[in-house]
Amino acid sequence: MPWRERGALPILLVAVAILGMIFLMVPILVIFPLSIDTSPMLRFPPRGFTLRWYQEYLTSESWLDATFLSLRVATLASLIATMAGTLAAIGMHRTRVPGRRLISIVLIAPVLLPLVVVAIAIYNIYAVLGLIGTQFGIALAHSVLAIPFVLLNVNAALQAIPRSYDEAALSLGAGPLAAARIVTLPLIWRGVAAGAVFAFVISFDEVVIAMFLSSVSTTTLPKKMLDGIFFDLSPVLAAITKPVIGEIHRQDFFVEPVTVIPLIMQLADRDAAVTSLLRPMTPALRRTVPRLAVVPATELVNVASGSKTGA
Amino acid sequence: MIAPAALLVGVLFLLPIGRLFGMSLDYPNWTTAFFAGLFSSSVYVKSLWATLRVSVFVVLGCLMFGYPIGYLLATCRAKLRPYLALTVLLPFWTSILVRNFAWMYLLQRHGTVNELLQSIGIIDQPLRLMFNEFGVVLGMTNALLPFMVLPIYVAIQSQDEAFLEAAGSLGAGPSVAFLKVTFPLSLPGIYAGTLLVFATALGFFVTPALLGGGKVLVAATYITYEIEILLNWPGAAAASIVLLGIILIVVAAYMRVVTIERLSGADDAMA
Repeated sequence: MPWRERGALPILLVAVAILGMIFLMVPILVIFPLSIDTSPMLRFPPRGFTLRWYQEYLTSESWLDATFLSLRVATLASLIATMAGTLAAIGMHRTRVPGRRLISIVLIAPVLLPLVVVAIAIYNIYAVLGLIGTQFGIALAHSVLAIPFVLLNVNAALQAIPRSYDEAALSLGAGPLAAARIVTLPLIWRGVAAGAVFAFVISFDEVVIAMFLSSVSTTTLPKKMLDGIFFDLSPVLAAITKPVIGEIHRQDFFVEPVTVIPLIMQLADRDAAVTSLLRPMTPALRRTVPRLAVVPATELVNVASGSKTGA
Repeated sequence: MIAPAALLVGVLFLLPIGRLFGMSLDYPNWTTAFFAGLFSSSVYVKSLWATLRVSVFVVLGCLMFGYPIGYLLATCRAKLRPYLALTVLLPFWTSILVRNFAWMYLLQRHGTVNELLQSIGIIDQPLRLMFNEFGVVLGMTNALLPFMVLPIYVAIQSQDEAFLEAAGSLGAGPSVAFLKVTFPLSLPGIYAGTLLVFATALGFFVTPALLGGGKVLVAATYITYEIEILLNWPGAAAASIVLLGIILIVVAAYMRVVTIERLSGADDAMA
C-alpha cells in the first residue's frame, strides 16, 4: 500500500515501530565498537582502535577454559535434549497414549517457570545425587530446559509428513525404533537439527542454573561473565558516588559470534526466518492464532455502518 | 519412546519442584510457618510489589513498541520484511547478559546517555538511570520485546487482506479500518504476547540483578537473597512456591480470557 494512502494512525504506528527497532538494536550496536576501543575506561563513542581485548581473551587461560567448558556442556546438553526430545516427539505423534496432553504440558513446563526456582529445586536434588559442580550435572539440567524447544521443533516437522509412511513401515514389520530411524528421521532431520541448535544455544547462554550448580572448576562462560560484573559492582555499591563500572571484562563480548550461528541458519531460509521463530513459542500461542481464521462477517458490516462491536 | 524425556523431566523437574513444595511446608511437620514468616517480612512484601510494578511497566513498554513493530513487520512490503525482521531477530538471539552489559555502559553515571543529555544541556547533573526500577524496566523491556512482537506479528500477518479492502470499499478510511478491523482481530496476538512477557517478567532474574545492582529486590532476586544472605533454604523454598503460584494464576487467567474470547467469537459467527 503506498504511504500516502496509509492514513494518520498507521503512519504513527510505523513511526513508533522505527523508534522501537532502534531501541532493540542499541545494545547490539554498542557492543562491537566497545570491543575495539583503546580507552581503558569504557566510553562511547570509542576513542581509538585496538585488538588488545581480543588478544587478552585469546591468551587468558581462565577465559579459554570457561569457553571450552561451555562448549562441552552445551554440546552434551544438546545431545541429551535432542535424543530425548526427538524420541518423545515421535512417540507422542505416533501413539495415542492416554494423558498425551498432560505429558506434553509437563514436558514444556520448564520453559514457563522462573529459572531461579528451577535452579534451586535442581540444586536440592543434586545435593543428594552428588552432581553439584559437575559438567554432566550442568548439562543434564540444561537439557531439561532445552527439551521443550526440541519437542516443538520436531513436532512441527512431524506435522508436515503423512502418518501413513510411518504406519507402512510398522506394518511391514519394522519395530518402533527401526521405523523411526529408517523412515521418520530422514524426513524430519531439519526439525531435529533446528531443535539441536536451539538446545545448544540455550545451554551456552544459560547463566542462572549455572550460577547455582557450577563450582570453581566448572565455571561456564556466562557464569564467568556474571562473576566479573558482580565483582566490579560490589565496590560500587559501597561507594555510589564513584564512577560506575570502569574496566569490565570486555572479553565478555566474545559470546556473540556463537549466538549468531542460529541467526545465520535462519537467514539462509529468508522467508521462513520470522515464522520459524514462532515454533518454539508456547503451545498456547499456536492455539490462539488459528482462531483468527474465523472472523464474524457481521464485524465488517458494523465497520461500514460505524457502530461499535464487542470484539 | 517418551520414557527418556519423561524420566529426565520427572527426576530433574517434577521431583525437585515437589521437594521444594515439601520443604516450604516444613515436611514432614506440615506447617505454614515459613509462609507466615515470609509475609511478615516487610522486605519480602515490598519485593513482591516491586515485582508486580516492574512487570506491569515492562508489559506496557513492550506493548507500546511491540504492537507497532509487529504491525510494521506484517504490513511492510515482502521484500523489506527480512531486513526489518533482523532488528527483532538479532536481539532475540543475542545473550541477555551481553545486552544488559551494553545497557550498563550506556546508562552509568558518566555513560553515553548522561553525557549526551548534558552536552545538549537538558540536564546539569548526571541522572540516575540504573540501579533503580527505571533501569530494570528499561533493560527488561529491551530483553522481552521480541516475545511481544512475534505473536502480534503473526496475528496481523494471518489476517485476510480482503477484510481491509471490504472495509475500504464500505467507506472506512485507513485509520478507521485499522481501529475497526486490524486491531480487534489482532487481540489474540496481544493476549499471547502479554502472557509471555508478563509471566517471564515475574520470574526474571538477570536484569534485576544487573541493572538493579542489588538495589531492586524482586521476587527472583529475593529468593537468592534468602539463600545467600539469610542462608534460609525453607524461606527460599516458600518464596519460590509463592512465585510459582502467582505465575500459575496469571496463566490460568489468560486461559480464561482466551476461552471467553473464543466463546464470544463463536456466538458472533452464529449471529
